[in-house]
Amino acid sequence: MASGMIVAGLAFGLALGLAACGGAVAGSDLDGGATENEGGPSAGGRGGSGGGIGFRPPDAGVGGPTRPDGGGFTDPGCPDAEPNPVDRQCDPFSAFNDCGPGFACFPFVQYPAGRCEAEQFGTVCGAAGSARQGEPCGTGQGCAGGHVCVISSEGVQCVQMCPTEGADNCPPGLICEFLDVAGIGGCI
Amino acid sequence: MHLSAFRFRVFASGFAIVLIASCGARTGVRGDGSDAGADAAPGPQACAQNVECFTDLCNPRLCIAGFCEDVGPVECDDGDECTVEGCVLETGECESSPLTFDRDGDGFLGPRPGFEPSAPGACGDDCDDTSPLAFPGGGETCDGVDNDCNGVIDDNARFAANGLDPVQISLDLFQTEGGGVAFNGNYYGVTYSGRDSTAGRARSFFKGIAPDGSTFGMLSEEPIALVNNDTFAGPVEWTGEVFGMAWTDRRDENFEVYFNQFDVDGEKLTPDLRVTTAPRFSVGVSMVFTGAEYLLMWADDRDSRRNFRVYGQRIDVLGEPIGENVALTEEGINATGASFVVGRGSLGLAYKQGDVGSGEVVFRTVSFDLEDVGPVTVVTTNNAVDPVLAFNDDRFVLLWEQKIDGFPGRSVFGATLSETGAVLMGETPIITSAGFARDPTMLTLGNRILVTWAEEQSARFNLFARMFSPDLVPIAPTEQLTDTNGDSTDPVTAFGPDGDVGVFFMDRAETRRQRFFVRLVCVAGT
Repeated sequence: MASGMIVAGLAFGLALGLAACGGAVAGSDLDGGATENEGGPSAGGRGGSGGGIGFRPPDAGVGGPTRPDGGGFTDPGCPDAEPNPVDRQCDPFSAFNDCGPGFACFPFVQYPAGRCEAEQFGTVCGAAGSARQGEPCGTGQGCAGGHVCVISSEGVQCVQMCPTEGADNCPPGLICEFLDVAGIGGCI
Repeated sequence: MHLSAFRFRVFASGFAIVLIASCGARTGVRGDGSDAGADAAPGPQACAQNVECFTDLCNPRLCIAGFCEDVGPVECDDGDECTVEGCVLETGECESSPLTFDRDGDGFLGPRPGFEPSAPGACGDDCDDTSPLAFPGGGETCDGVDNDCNGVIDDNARFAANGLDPVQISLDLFQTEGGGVAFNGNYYGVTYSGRDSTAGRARSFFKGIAPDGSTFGMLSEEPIALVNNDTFAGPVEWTGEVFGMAWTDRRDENFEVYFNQFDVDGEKLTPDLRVTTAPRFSVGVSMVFTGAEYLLMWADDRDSRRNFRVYGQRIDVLGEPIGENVALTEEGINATGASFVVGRGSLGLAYKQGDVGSGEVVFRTVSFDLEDVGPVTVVTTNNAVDPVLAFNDDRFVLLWEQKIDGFPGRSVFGATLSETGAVLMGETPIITSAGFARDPTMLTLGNRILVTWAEEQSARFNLFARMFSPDLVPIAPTEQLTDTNGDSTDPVTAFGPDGDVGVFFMDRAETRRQRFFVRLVCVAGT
């Protein structure tokens, strides 16, 4: 099963997520400085706090914990917020490379800056690498145009991008699974 | 649960004593209400009768020779290793309660964690304390339960496709993915993520499905996490009382693992528990309920960017973490795609290790408290990915996808291992048809194993199921579960009523990705 599909960075530090079967997605760094989730405003800001213990944050809800036999808890949730408009600067499925020689169109995601905020999704031109379907990426090697670097249950690899609606044109035996940019998937 | 009471029986002084508890306690050395000298060490308390010395019935004091004296606490020990005892303040009597619980209300206690039912020290003999239909001496019927606790589910029964079209469960508003399924005795609880095609965000949902697959009148599509960022549904487990769910989302800066419990009405019971607080990715969460607590495992690159380790966390039945996150694999090996399962004496854990293309799937045991991790057994190094682990009777059963030379597509292979991790049956092809196969999942029945998978035929993936022996030898014909216009993949399965097996899966019919439900029906054996 293609479970736990995760993600990696692209050629220029851009990261994106593949989210098949409850998997996840990386943040991105369009500024080229920080790496995903490690700081920089476009990476979701502050990075992780480390530690790694289970805890229930004090602002996670109101009313305090309620035991399974107690009932009565109401999750206040977040006030519904409009999603950010997709910042689509190029077309990753275009038959024509509108990013110019040596570049290609990649999807990206910026993590929310606060607990109740939404991601910023989009596509942007970036330096194209040479790695293709199933080849490693993320450690200096970028993906070729039409591919994206993902962290999957197989490891960090390039996969072919595909539309999540209609014919996916994936290689034989592969399925178009979600990336975390609406309408863009990856062949897994 | 029963309670037994017995008289306190140990007094340090050895006197025969009658405590008078109804007249109220008297305290203090001075008895004048003054707090003068309150910080000084208390001196002997003068008294004329026992009642003046009273504190509580579990720590009796007597008036001896004009002064109050402690005569030692009531000590409670009924000599039974399967009970816990304590003194009741109001009565001074010892009470004991079982160390284990009858969570499903069938009159039989479940075993202690790590113990086989009925084993010495297990303190319980219920083989499935989440089901009131399973208990020693029960009558075996076609219901997906080991009713008589003989180690075999639905003895001699077979499973057949119900011949009906799959039912769409998710709503057209979303394109869906992921999730899990569990049956609570009345309905299948399913989780999945749906990406809103207008808003573009991924939300996670919990929904009820009637045993016949209909959703009318059932629990409607309830959001799991009320946040505005992407959330990705994960596994769901039924404890006998509540549903436990784990998932990942990005509300806290990066991907973290979260957990909560929901009642049968879909009501969230507590604030979401943030299981991880770590830099970078905590993803790919899987979960089991052991009968006593939840265990979660996931891939985590907190220690080294892009180099994952499997981490685990225990969570009690109240949804509170037990201890901290525990690293279960070594640094630097890049462990991904973890699958784990509860065995008899330990957990089994399988994962892929190494970089992309290593193709190495390994197995190891892990103690129930996650403190002890066994040695690594390399099961295969042959283009393997995505291991799936189950436990059947006396062995671990491991399936994985194996890339076919020259193609990106895969087929399904398997192996079996002993409870200590020794390979019993080495690498064996499970799906032998010419097409690609993927997404295997298993239900174990004690003396056989039901495998469900997706297989490509005529350029489309459909779902199939087949029964295998404990040694992964096919013992029944293959059943085809779907025949749709699009690819059917990602099945997750759960036993339902009357021995049915609910199959919750992804289908891309009509070009949109939706979650569907179909059943295998149990046909009683002779």
